[in-house]
Amino acid sequence: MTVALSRCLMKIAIRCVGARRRDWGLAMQGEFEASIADGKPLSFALGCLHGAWRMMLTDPDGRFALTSYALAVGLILPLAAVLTIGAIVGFPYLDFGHDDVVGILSFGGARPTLLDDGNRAAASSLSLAVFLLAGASVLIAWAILDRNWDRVAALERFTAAATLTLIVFVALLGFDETRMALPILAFVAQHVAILVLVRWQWCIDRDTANTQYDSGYS
Amino acid sequence: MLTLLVAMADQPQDWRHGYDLMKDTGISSGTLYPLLVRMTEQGLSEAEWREPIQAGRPPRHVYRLTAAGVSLARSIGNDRAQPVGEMLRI
Repeated sequence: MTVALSRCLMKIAIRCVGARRRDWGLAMQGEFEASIADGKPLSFALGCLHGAWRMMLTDPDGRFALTSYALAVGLILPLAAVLTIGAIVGFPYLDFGHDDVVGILSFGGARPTLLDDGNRAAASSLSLAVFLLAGASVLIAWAILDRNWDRVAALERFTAAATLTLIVFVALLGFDETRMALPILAFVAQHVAILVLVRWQWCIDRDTANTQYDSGYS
Repeated sequence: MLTLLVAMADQPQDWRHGYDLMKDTGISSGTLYPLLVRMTEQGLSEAEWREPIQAGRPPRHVYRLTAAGVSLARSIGNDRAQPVGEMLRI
């Protein structure tokens, strides 16, 4: 049991070391067998995990990975959650007046709708657009962690189109346009953060290529 | 880093396994590997892969000081006017 748990910890540690220092991860793996023979695999594996985290913080690629996770978990997924809740409670076509968050989230009682008999059919399309925005945000977070920038760009284009569609619908239906502030802000914040990440990744790749070039000709 | 440098300088020609260095110095694996990475990147130590003695085991990394590492260990020893071996007990 202890050895199995230690092996799991070693796998996490090796993953955390990253591709640039893969040899060091394999070096830890090689010594892990010696620690099993010595009867101390768990303390060795815990130490390696701690060491891998320390190396991650000193490595540009590791800092990039941590920042990507922070962005995905700290910004993009919460924005997706807010948009999902918004779609569930009837954003942007129900009138919440001056309700606070608790009031908006309490589902008791019928809310006055901003739609009239002529455009009531738009409700499902509006909700679908907000749900798609939330879903696209989750996929963007996933693609960022995969460092799949082509997919991020495609999803960003889709998000821009969905946000624009919402704005057009809200304007055509004569709603208060300020209620579109949240999706627009979410899109802008997400887009700026992604641009910063892409530029950072580009700098890391350039530095790595320069290092490999220098070591190849030294 | 000093403890590790001194331990490796005791037998500078010998290649040492990471686990042996851990046991000799009392440094945990979480400290040892970042130190070895830093020392190797600074040109103080070098590393090599060795085929496993037992079949089915992964290859192991071995380490030893470079000339620069030995020189640094000796200069530290001279500065302190103590033999390198005694510095281990500081």
